[in-house]
Amino acid sequence: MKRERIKHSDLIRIFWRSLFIQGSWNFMSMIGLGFCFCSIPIAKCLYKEREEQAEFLKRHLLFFNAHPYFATVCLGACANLEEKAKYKEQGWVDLRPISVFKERMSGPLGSVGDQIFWSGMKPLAAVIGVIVAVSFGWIAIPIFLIFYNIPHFYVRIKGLALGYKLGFDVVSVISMRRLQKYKLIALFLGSLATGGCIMALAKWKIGGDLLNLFPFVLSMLLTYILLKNKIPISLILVLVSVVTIIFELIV
Amino acid sequence: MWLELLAVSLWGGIVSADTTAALQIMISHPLISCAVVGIILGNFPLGFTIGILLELVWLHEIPAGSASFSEGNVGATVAAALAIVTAQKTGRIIPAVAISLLMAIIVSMIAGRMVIWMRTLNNKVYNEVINAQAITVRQVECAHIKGIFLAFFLGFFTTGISILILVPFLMPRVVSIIPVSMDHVLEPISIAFLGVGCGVLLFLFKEHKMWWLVFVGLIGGFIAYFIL
Repeated sequence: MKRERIKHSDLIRIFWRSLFIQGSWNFMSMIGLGFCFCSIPIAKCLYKEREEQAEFLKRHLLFFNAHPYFATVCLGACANLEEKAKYKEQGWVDLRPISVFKERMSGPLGSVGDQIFWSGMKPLAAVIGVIVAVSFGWIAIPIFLIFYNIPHFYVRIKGLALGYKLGFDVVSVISMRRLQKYKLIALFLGSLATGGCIMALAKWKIGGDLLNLFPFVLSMLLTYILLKNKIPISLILVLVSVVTIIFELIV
Repeated sequence: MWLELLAVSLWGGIVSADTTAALQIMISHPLISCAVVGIILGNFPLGFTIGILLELVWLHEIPAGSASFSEGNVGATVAAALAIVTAQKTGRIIPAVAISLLMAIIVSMIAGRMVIWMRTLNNKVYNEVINAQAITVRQVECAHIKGIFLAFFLGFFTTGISILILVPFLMPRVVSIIPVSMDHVLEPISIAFLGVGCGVLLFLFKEHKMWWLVFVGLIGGFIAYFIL
């Protein structure tokens, strides 16, 4: 039997598809359908029969949830495992371990990605973008996009390559303990930039007018306190606007 | 003008898709999306300013898992379009900006609800695929692409309908009702939005117990304030 191997071109196709992994997000399988969509190049490469492909698709349509950037790690690992499983390498008996592996990877990949990107990189890039925007103008747009997307694409590409290379062993690379330093760097820089951002915005919009300082400081503190009490941001925005108008009418 | 507004609606679709469904390269962030609206409508500085005002406001809302969130990016896109067109029509930038910012809140809430509706629709599509007799590659691809287009149309229609309702009817009338003497009352709303953005940042980074770094940044910014 001729052995079909996953080629570089297949991995590139998986990568391209992974950019759309959240496209069909739903409450039942979360990004399960997206994961299946991304793994179609694996199915096409390894299985030529329709029945085999249907089995493969059914296997990968089940529940899966992860951060969209880090999902490539699991996609790469699944490519490796599917390949090994097909040719019964390393003592494969059935395909259940692949589903179990996906299930186990789901939580950690979501948590790692959320902490590094949604809570770290995204606010950091936004803060830097705003500081540059108020200080130097439009140049903030390319700076924001480049600053954010270099780590973004690095994670997607490296994750896919590592996943494919290591298979099951990718678990050891993806632990939060190992990636903690990246989160801390983003938070360190983000906290530092927050202070700078507050000053930059104050300089930009308030200038020397102390009357403008009041709505700025009041809304900042009010937002902080209300968010801590889990008040939705829309309500906070309305409240802050009303308070500001009342203050201006009185003054 | 209507052709430009159609282009803005299409851009709203791309913004919505980038937020949750496709690419996620952050072109949907207000800093970029509002600037693009500014370019389309021929007033880049105003679009860019609206983007700065709204960039930080929704930052703590994480589109992770099944969390519901305000679709701030689409709201910001609509706000930029409203501010530019209303300022052009009435010649009054301050009330146009203030009311557009308030409209952004409403649009973001509506679009947020629509995301949940879209995801419920995706449930249906997923069910059709998983319950099929023999699943084919084509079926999976079609279902997934449907989801991406749904995200695009959500942004397209929200932006388009908001513009259709607000641009010709509501915004110019509301602005014309407000007396010019009230402009100084409305002006600080944009400052308050910046304050909200900074409050969101403080909330985000306080969570991680790095207060002292915020103060270091403040001192650094203070020094830069006097040097630059």
